[in-house]
Amino acid sequence: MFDQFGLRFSGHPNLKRVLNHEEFIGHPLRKDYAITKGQYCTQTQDLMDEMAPLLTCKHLDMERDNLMLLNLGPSHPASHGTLRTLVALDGEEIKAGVSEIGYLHRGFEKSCENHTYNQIVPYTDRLNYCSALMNNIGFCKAVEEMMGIKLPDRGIFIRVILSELSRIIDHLVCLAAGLLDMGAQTNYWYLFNPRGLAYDFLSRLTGARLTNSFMRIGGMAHDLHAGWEAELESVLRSVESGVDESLRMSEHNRIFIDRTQNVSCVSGERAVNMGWSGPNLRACGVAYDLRFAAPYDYYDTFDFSMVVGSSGDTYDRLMVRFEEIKESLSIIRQAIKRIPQGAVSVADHAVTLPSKSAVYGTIEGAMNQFKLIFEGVKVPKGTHYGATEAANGELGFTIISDGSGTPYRVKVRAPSFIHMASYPKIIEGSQIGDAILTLGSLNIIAGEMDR
Amino acid sequence: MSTAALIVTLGSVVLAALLALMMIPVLVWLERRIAGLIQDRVGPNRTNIMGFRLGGVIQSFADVIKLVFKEEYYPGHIQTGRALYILAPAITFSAALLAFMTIPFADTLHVSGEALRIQALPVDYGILWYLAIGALGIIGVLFGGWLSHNKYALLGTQRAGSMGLSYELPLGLAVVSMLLTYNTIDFNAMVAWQTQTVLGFLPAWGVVVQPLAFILFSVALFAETNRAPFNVVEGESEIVSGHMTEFSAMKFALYFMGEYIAMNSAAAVIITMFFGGYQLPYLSSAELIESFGTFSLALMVITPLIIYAFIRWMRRNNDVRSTLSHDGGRRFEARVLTIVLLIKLVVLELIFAYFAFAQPSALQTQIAVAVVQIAVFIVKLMLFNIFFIVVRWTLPRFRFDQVQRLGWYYLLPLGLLNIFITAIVIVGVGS
Repeated sequence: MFDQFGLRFSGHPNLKRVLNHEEFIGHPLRKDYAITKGQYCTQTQDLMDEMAPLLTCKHLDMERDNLMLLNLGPSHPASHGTLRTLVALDGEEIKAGVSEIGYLHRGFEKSCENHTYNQIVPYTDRLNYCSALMNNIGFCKAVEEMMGIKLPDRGIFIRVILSELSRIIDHLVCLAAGLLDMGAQTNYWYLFNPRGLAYDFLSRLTGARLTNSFMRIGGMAHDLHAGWEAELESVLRSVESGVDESLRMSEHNRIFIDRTQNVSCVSGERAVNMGWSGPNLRACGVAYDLRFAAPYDYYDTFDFSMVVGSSGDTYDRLMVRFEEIKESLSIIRQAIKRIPQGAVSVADHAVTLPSKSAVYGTIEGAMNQFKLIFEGVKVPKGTHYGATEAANGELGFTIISDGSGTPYRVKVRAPSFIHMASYPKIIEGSQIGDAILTLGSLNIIAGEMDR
Repeated sequence: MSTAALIVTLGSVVLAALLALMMIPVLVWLERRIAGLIQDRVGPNRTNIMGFRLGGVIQSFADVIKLVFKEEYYPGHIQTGRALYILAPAITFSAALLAFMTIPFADTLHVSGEALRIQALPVDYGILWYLAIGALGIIGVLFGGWLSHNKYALLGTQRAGSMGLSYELPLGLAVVSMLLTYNTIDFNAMVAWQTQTVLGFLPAWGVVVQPLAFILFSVALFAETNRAPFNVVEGESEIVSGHMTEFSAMKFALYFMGEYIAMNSAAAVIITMFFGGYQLPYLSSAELIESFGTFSLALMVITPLIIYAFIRWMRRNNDVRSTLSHDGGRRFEARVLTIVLLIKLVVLELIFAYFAFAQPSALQTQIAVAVVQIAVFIVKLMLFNIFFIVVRWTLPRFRFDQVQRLGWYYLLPLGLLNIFITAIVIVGVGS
């Protein structure tokens, strides 16, 4: 709030910038800050302004308790993305920790303010880049809800299939990286091989492996390609065999169990208070999944279960993801069987681009294309919050529209931001190795966290 | 010294140096290849000298050349103790290399009344030397980590020091129970003891007679050589490279090579004490010398089969997809290696035929037996190195306090228990 808008809170103990650099002058999300104005900032901060009060609060003293300050990150083999945590160590045990984020802040929300809604879709890809399609879908769904549009059934089923596929590949990244941090490097290969195949499928479908930008307001860019069922089935089979091999190596492995069980336990109540969502919350025993609580996209017609853990430790967070992969595989297979024929985008010429033959052949098509591209899809005035169950948790978009084709304001409720806020608290008392594994199990994606 | 003694000693030193130093590229290659095979991929297979890839071994030599020519960078923040900072990796490397020097590669040769050991250091206190000198490697780690003036290095060093210290105890206790069993501290005598049979049909290898000591010893050696799952010292995901963080180029290469030599020595000691060393199972050296004619005949029959299988496997695997226009010289390499192997086969067959049918002198038979035993030793050594490597790429890493708990709470009492049981059994069997 202070960082982006300049709202000052009286009585705040340490009002400092979170996403932007501390040398940054001005408040970017204010309307009087020019979007093209960049600034060059160079100094690193030593975070002692946060660490010192924390130590006094815990009655710790650097000299007396022999504490060593260590920077975990931002360039560290184990930090997933550029994250920095300053820890005060007593031997190997972490007594206090302070995190710094914002290394990947690219001004997504400011960029939204002078782009049309369809132009924002490629930006959403770069939020949670491990499961780009889910961000597309989340954003498009929020806008469609504002406009009162419902996609044709085929479009909805395709969204479900691609959403669950993205969930699978996101979980594969988290699990592979988590196991890699533990030293079990072979799992990285077993879990990433199916990802390669999934990327091949997505690149054949959308043209890009990672940042797909496939969804549009009111539908998607085009229909699925010919032969997609067989290809997708081979991807799913490879995911199954990779997950099976990895589980066989890890599930009953004494070392894996000792490293992950009872490490950074978080109770359900604490998780809810900290604002957690997604697999992290479900691992703590709280059975909350947006696909069940507020079903969208026909999720209530699919036969799948919610995966809930019990103790909220690292083991549960990793195992919940393994099981969710299996549930997603089942959902995709059901969707493949049930998917109807038909259009994939809503047939409204104020929303969907006309066909290329109409654009190049008729004057109305050309005018339609021109208006939609230059002015964007017009969204009625108002404010709306739309959320989906993304791979990391509840991914929400608050959109304030002024009736034109570009939004007045877009705010992303990024699950990783909320999880990272609680990270320094939950690693207190654990060792460095545990802290690294906890970070991996929380699946902090810097793109989503920093926006 | 007589000429025989001179030749044998020099030969042993050269053999030990070769086995220790030349094994490093081979071990690096094995590590990467086996890692690749376990991980569903191929491993290094591009580096070549005029088309000769040799399965990827050339990659190791390329690595050596790179490390030698890399820029020697001395970080600016290391102001005190520069000399010791540069010397520290050399200490680890030398300690590891020296520890290998008392391993026997073949049985003692008896030439004109002299007993000539096939050991680089022909001493009879082999195991004590290994324990003492091997433990010195930690000093290099401590110096390097402390003088790096780096918090990650400090953490790594602290872990290395305390871990190395803790696992010396189970290591020593396992050795004590083996000394009780074998009743000697001489590696050669230990190997000779293992030529007996237990229960009439099992070879009296250390692993059969003392399985608990084998487990303790192996786990302790995994920890001493900082191999996974005990590689908390260089736990890449936690403390970057631990004590090796601030070292680059040749300094790092010395640490790196010291680690591989230590792993090699560990494998060598394990096979000497637990797996019959350089002996074939059931056959003691004397029996082998007597029946060497029949043995040669058997080898004459088996060797062509092995080489034929190897040539077929090599030609099948050293190939590329048929759609590629250029195979990078692989078929040429396969052809050349086939010819080389066939020539070797002919030479070997002639040698075996000489030993089988002609009447070789006692000295020639002894030397041939020694060569066979060296070959057996090398095969066992490679198998154990592969075991070390497979364990690394399969298991995750322990956390540091779990490592300590394992060493002090579990392995130490087990070691003591093993000694008691061994002593009771020995007294019981003896009486």
